[in-house]
Amino acid sequence: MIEVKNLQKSFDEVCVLKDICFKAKQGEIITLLGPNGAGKTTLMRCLCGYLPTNGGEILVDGKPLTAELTQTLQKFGYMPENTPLYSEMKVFEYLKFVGEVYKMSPDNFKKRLKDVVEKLQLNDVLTKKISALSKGFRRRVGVGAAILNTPKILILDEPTEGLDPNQKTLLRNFLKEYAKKALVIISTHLLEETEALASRVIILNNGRIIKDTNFTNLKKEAPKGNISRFFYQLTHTED
Amino acid sequence: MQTAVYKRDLMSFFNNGSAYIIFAVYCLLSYVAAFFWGDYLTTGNSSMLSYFIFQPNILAMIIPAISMRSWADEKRSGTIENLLTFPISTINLIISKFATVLTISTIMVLFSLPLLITTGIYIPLDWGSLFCSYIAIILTSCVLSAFGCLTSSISQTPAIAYLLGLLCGIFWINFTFNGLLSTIWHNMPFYFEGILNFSNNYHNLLNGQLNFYSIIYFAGLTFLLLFCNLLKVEDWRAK
Repeated sequence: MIEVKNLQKSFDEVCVLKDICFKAKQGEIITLLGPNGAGKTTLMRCLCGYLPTNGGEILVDGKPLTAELTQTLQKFGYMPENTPLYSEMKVFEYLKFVGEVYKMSPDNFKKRLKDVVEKLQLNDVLTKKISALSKGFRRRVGVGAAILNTPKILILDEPTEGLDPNQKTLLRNFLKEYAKKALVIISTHLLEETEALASRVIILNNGRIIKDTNFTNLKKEAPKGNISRFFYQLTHTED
Repeated sequence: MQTAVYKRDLMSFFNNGSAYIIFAVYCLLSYVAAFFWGDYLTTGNSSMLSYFIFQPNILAMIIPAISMRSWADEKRSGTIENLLTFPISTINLIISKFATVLTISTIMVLFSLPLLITTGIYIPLDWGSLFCSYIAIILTSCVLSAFGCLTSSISQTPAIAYLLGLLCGIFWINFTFNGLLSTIWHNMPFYFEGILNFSNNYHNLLNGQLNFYSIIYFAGLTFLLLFCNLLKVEDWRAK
């Protein structure tokens, strides 16, 4: 579904992504794990076409991402870091706007809206202004907007950051459910996230992939099963 | 054009209280200029010349206030990342933002209708000249809107965007390019004099001459500025 080959990304002279290679398919949840500044957000921005790359290739269903970017982006749902939303809009207005951007038919929009509202428990805030929402609800609205068009590839940048435990559980359960029919890529710097999602883990450090495995194997590899310590060792020896 | 973005931007403008202040200031300036400086009541105004003569400078002050938020606010709030990862081409985004500003400017121009009707009651109107004057004012709004969108895209905050837009607009309207052109082109034929000047082209139209060159001048300048805007937005992606 998505294939990344020797991806390079630099800002001015600073290389922030080096030789990134991985393949991902439908039904997977990939957690991009890494310390702050590892390149997770940059990688996500490259994957959804927001940033151009300086080298390498991103293939979506076998075709280069940039070949027909506008059409390819129909397959994507993306929520940036900190969930930027139009705060003067009401939740329903914002979701309607997103539906119109994706050229959803009115019937499809109604159906999807009902589904999204139910699964993310947005019923109570649908007529509220986004500026009046708590951080948790803003995140859920951001996720709702990203999945409204039922994208085949869902990319969420730190979706559970700053949420309370209940909201984290709600969102994680939702992502597990959604990943049955799509590819979900999330970024985090929390080890507990990978455990909770039982996902494939790609560990980034200094712009390189230093580990591409799943949570069970990561735990096996970790001395005495101490993943935190193992993660610390991995991300510090590479410096 | 992306109608969803166009509608959202229009709604955002009209939901903001400052929209009505902008309209009120425009009306006040237009009518004060026409009646006090233009001696509207004592001059024969079958083509409302006393009204239209002051419009370019007034629009140069007001249109940047409409356009200042179009890109600068998206950057400030981070929603630009959403916008550029939606399946919308950059050119469509540019046109949608420009169309929003132009629509609002055109609505503003319609505030001259009460004066037109009142004048028509007392004196016979020169409909040909009036038609050309409205074309002139709309074409001027096109260029100023494009200036406004461009300055908004290169500014970090709406306030800076307003100041830059104001300076560009006032400069364009009041600067004569004769000296500049003759420096570059020493044996310039006389009929090229004033070819780049706003006032020559605007007054041609006010005088009822709907000449092809003047229309090309305004349209060409609008396209040039929108093209610069496109380059600027593409440049964000490249960074």
